[in-house]
Amino acid sequence: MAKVLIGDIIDSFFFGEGLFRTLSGWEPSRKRGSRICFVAGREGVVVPVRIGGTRSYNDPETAMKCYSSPQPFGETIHNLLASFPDEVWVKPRFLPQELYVGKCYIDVALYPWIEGGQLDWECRRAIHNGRRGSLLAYLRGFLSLALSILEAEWRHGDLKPENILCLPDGSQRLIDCDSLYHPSLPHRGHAGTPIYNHPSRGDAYDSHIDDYAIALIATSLAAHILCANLPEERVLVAHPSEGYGELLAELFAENADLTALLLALNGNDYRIPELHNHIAHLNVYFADYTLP
Amino acid sequence: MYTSQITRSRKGAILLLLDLSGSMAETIIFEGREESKAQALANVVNSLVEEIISRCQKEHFVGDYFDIAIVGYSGTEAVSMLGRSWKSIAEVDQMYRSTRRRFITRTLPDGRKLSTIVESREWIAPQSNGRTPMGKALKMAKRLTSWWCSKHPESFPPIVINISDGEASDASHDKIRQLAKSLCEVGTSDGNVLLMNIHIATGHDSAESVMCFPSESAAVPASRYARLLYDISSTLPEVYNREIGEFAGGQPPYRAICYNAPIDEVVSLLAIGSLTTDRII
Repeated sequence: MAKVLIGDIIDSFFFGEGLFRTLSGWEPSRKRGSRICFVAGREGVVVPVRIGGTRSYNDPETAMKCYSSPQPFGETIHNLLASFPDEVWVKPRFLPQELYVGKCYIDVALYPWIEGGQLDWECRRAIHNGRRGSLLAYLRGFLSLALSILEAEWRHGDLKPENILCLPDGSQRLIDCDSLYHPSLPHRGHAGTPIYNHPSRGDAYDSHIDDYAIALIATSLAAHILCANLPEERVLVAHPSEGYGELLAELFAENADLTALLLALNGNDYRIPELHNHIAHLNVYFADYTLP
Repeated sequence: MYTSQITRSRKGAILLLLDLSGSMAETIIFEGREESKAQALANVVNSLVEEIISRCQKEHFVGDYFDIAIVGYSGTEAVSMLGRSWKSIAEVDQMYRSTRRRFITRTLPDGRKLSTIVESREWIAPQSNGRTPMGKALKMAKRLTSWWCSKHPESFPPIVINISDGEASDASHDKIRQLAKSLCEVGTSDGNVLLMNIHIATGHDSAESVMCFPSESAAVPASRYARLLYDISSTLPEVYNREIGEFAGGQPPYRAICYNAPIDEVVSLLAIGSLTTDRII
């Protein structure tokens, strides 16, 4: 089946509860006029909704993810996720074949609304406003999250700043479990988001699939903390091959772990065998780091 | 080739060429109602523009992943319909000309019918007059894409979608072939312009003559005009294979043509042809 149009999904919300199989008592958050708020992703759209109560629609309590293509392992993945740590994942409730969009039913997942912003957006704002202290806090939060990932038997599978929520307490949570790697799950042919994957990863599906993204995000954030003058557009994609190799090598010269990660990003293998050690060292290093 | 990711610093480009000739005043059935082809085309294009904006919708902004241009051709001219030639998708989001209330009905699998009213934004209005200067439109497309490629030399190349219901009035078949070939020689380091042709069904055409994203290994169309459109349409690169395979079946490579396409399906066809969504990051 071809992907469902976002327009068809959004139109479905104008029918109220009529096109939902089980959900009731919710209202979508709206923009000025009657347009419905949503965020688009590769797998579909996320619509903030309020379920029950009488609070303002500008105070959404649930994020409803509507998938534009079938999720054959959706229930299996979400069942697995239930046993993962709450401090690491925002856990959705999966509702198969929930919303009728004109030609078919599509799957839906309900995410509890968590106060916080996506790492990507938060970092762009911090760089734009020259708040390097905030960036340092985001890096600390990310290194802690990365250690949790590397010490688990699962991997996110599509790790990128848009899939990381920064909470007000400084911690970070993973969202979007659709590409999850777990030894019990079959290879589903999902290759993640290309720019956050090593070119040699292909559609590999193993415990190293987050390595490149972890190294890339950590080094990119570190670069922005160590150098205030990197262009904003390179916020979290300071890929060494895009003209920043020499600058980053110079910035990282005094830190063996950052230098090693930079070399690994430029290497030929998507797997970074010593990644856990490097991240653990960086976690200690940046815990005590003070901005000049 | 055709591997460049579409990012905010390496945008994509979509150019729509719209037949606004007199024959577009003919009526067809669109979304269950009798409409002029011109009205149906305007609805389809407005829906596509909204879909492109939607796919770029981030938490606090419309991600500037695409530039868009729309060229209408009728009488003896081809003219830009969005002000100056190219607009960024974030600009397009802010520049709709009107809104329209649409009455839509969904029939559930159990037969129940539900209806509602949806407000939609509009960027273009229906038009139909004069002849079909497709040759001029192809020339303008070459000028626009050449300029765009010079500004975005490493991007995924522009996708040009020509939507028409009839033959060119200002150029012979050979001339159209020559102009299309010239257009498809324009490109970036990632590949040449992709030209997709959508020929709208009149309602009188037989179902047998419908052809959407055909495999190149399948039989080529018999009619002379369908053959022309087939010949000038690009072979789609690998990045399209999965989505077209799910939509149309068959084996890649696929040709970027939809002939006698049912108008109700055109937005989906356009979305597949223009939004290689897995490449947007």
